Amino acid sequence: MVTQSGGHARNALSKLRSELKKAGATMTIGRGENRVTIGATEAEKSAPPAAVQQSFGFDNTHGFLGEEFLLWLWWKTEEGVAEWGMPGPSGILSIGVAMDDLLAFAPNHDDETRQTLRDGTPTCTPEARAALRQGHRIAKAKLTIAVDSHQFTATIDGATLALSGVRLGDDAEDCESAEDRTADRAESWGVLVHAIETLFLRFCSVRVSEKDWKTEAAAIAQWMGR
Amino acid sequence: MVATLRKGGSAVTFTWPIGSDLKDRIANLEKHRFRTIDAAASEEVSAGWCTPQDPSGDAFNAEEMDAGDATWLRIRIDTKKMPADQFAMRLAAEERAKGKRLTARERRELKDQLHEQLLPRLLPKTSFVDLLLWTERRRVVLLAGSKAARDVARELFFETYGVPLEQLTPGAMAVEMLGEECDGDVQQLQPTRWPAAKGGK
Repeated sequence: MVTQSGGHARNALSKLRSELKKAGATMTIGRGENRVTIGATEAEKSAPPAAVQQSFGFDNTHGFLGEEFLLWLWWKTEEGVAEWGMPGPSGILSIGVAMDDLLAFAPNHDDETRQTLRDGTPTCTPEARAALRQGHRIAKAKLTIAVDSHQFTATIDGATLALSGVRLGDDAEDCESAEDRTADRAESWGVLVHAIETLFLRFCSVRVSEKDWKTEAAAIAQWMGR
Repeated sequence: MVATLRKGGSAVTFTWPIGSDLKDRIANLEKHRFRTIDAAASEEVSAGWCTPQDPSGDAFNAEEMDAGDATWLRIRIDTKKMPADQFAMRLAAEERAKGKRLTARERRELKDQLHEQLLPRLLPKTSFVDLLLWTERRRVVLLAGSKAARDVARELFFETYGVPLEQLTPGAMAVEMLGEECDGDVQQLQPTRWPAAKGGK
């Protein structure tokens, strides 16, 4: 349970306690009978290290990768490559992607105007191409994703890959109880997340290869200039 | 009425940092279960685990957390806050009676007095944050998009399991999916400078 009481001092103490716990450290404050130790408990300090905890070794979120991923998807869909394969429990599933309804551009500098195009097919508008040519990055895009019998719409934030405005589609017809509906929806959430990861992996495997990315980036640049 | 999982909204993905299945560690959830602040006489936020079918946080039945291949976790957050208009009204009445503005100290005392009088009578505002967990795929999906929900989930998770919940940002996801041997390659990546943006061909 996390409890925070009112008052700046208590808030600051709570924050400090949390930071100390995360660091596995303790701090003693006060004197005599008022002396208290805050931070990680003995049990937490002596707990075995999280052997399976994966540390990626850098704190950079590499948000530009997500923004370039959305650009790459846009380019792929316009070039007619809008279907990919994804391993599923019973073989390879087909992922289809379309971009529509929302395209938001991030400016190069904070003081520049932000541009958001809504409704219809914003990727087909001259404003969208002009924004690309001016060097604006894609901040958000709304995608329609079809995987096997599932269809989703979701807005992806480029810098974080967080999803908003997700719609999972209708429940399966054979759902008869609340438990069935929950299981079906959980499966849909899982498929959506897995599909986006699969697409991102496709992009990343090209992006980290200097040779492959040079070829694709040249083709994307040519498309941007059309 | 039986609760059902939501079919839309926002979602943020994290890696599940613990090897074993959650059901082996249900005692951890019970230890950090939701505790009520209904009778609290101060402004408080209480966040703790509960099950989707029992929002009280009193019982943890593993079957109630089943969602097909996934496990459905729920965090209950109760917030008790003094309504701002109540304080404004009492302040205005006090100042009118006194004929001048209250000092900072008097305002603070008035606020403390109101807390003691009103907060025990006030019911907390309740909200729920859902998480879906796939242990085999090592994924936790937080079905909320706000920073406040992410912070609560991270803090509660750390208190419960002693390991941080890592959000899968583009960089982290790239390394995890390509393999740790690509860590260096991903770290060295720089944003692409498009020729069109520079005015070239």
